Order: sequence, then structure tokens, then C-alpha cells
Amino acid sequence: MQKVWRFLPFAYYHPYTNMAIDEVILEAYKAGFVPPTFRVYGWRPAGISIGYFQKAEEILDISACRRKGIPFVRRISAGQMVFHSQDVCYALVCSKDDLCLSNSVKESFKQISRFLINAYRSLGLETDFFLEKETGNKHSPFCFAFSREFDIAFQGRKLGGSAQRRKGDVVFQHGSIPLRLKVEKLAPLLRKGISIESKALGLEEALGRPISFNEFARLITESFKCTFSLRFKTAGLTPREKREVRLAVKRYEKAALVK
Amino acid sequence: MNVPENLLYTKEHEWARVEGNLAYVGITDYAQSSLGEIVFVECPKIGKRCEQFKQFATIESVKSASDLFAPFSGRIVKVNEQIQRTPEIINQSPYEQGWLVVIEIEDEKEKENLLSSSAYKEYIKALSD
Repeated sequence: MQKVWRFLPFAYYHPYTNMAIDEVILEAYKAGFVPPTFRVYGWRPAGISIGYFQKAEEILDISACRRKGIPFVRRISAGQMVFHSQDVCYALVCSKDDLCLSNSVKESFKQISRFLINAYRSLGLETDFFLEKETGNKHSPFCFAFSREFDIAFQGRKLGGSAQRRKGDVVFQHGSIPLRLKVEKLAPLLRKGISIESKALGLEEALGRPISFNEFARLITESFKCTFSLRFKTAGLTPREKREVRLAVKRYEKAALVK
Repeated sequence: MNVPENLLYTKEHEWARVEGNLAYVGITDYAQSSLGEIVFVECPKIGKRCEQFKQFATIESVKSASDLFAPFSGRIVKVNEQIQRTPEIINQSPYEQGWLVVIEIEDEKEKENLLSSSAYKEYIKALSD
């Protein structure tokens, strides 16, 4: 019998809470407490996420972030820094079997990301995967400064960014799709000398019309369901997960304070 | 897929080469090929204790961060510095130059929990079928 996925509907959260939820749903799924899960979310207030292997103090002007009230948080996934403000994010956790994924990490990334290509198609946009190994400035700590193989391209420019975390056979993937990409807002929050030259575009620029957070969140949810022929049940976090989220938020707050 | 005879394996695709009470540890050819281009490895510091089958390191490949699991319990006594500078050697030479750490084995009996070369070959064959 086909598994029913848990669906956590679109909501805005604080940056620490967003990353705490991602971390907690991964651990809860790995421990067998919850079914495979898909969530869509936004960021309020705006914030910065850095990749698991990045160091905040090497790329961010931490005093400027504090002055301007922009929280920063480390993701559980790899990749580069993202400024989250006008973006819709998704996260999913499952086993390889839940989506019949390849054993190859890169291939599974491509398989999963197909739901975004389908979502863009339903908006009338023809997108595809970048096939070149790298384009742009690969030394930049900024996610939208360069593209790697299997990032999604619209007319040669990167549209959104995604990354995975693997824990044994458990697959976690999340991503950010900017509706409006305003890289200039990131510039004053970075250390001197760090370039934010962007090789990307926002969805509205690609579409040539405005699109709301809710409309796009609904669209990618439907696209994910249809691409993999899944059954969803809308639910919330379990009481245990809520407790874990509160603890993780405290950890993130503390980590940001000691920088 | 290269699976050397003289090593022991975990189901999470780490290998161990036992030399006396020490185990050289790395990831298998199957793992490096599944991960793709490896760009960074976060290894534990020398002196840190790890536990069999528990996470001890994290590896970054293009598009993913993946946990690595210790084949033996014990203290880390050596870390391969070369992989910090040139992580791609893990792709090129997973069993030789691309080793990650050396663990001082606490309990030899833990060998019994690991897979032989032939058992690991069967295991990855089943995964690919």
C-alpha cells in the first residue's frame, strides 16, 4: 500500500524556527516517529542561511546583521549562503524507496528537482537542468553567484537553489525559490571584499508578472504530489517535534550570540 | 565496483583496514561514486572518541552533506591532512590516498559486526538491482 505523506502547509516562521523544523523533521523521520514529510514555508523576519560547512564569521559582517536585525542560521545542508526574504522554500524528508530514488546522490537530486521543473512548466516557463559542471564564480560564498550541474536554469540563469542532507538511507532536501531576487539587500551584511554578483533571477522576472507566496507554495505542493503520484495528509508537528523545535531554536540563538 | 579483499565494510559504505590495534578508515568506491565530486570533509579532531555505527564525520559533495559512520569504537589517533587540501583524492583513490582517519580500536570483537569483502559485494549488488 502506498504510504501517505505528511504535509505541513505554507507558513512564515522566524529563521531559527524554520531551520529547527527542518532539522527536527529529519531526525523524527530517521527515528521512525513520523511519515515522509513535505513542507513549504517563508521567512519572517528576513534572514540569512549559511551552508553546513560555511563559517558565519568568515562571510558575514555580524555586527551589521545584528544592527539591522537580520538573524543568520546554519543549515543542515551543504551549499552556499542564501538571503531569505522574498522566497518560497520547501523541505522534504523520506527514504530512497519512498520516491524510488537512485543510489547516486546527484541523480536523486535531479530526480527530486524535477517537481520544480514541472511546477515552472505549469506557469508556462520552460526550464532545464544546468549540464555544465560549474558556471559563474565558484569561489563565491553566495548561492546565487554560480550554478552547478543539476541546478535549474531559465534562459541560462539560475532559478532557485536546493541542497540535500543524507543520513544513511534517509534523504532530506530543501530549497529556496526567490520570487523577487534583491541581492543588493545582502551587500551591507557581508564582510568587505565578498562579491554578491548574481547569476540568477527571481521567478517574477522570469514570468514577467507578479506571483504571490501562497500561489507559488500551492503550485509546488501540487507539482510534488503529481510528479511522484503521492497521497498527502495535512497535519502539524507532533508534540515531541514541537518540544525538539523549541530546544533547537535555543541552540541556534546561542550559536548566533557567541559569534 | 572496486571492493578490495583485505578490508572490512559497513552497510553505510565505510571501509576499515585493520593494522594491529589500529583501523584506517575511509569510504568505499561505491560511496564515492554515489556521492559524486567530493568538495569537503569535516573530520573529528585527534583524541575524540567515536562509537561503532554512530556518526563521526560529515562529507560534502556537490548538492549534499552526508553523515559518515564509524566502523569501530575508539579514539581518533590520526587524521588525513591531505584530504582537507585536496578532497577530490577521495574520488580518485578511496582505498589508498583517500583514507580519512585512523581509529585506535577499543574492542576487537566489533570486527564481527562488519561485512567481509564478499558480503559487502553482495550487499551493494542487491542495492543496485
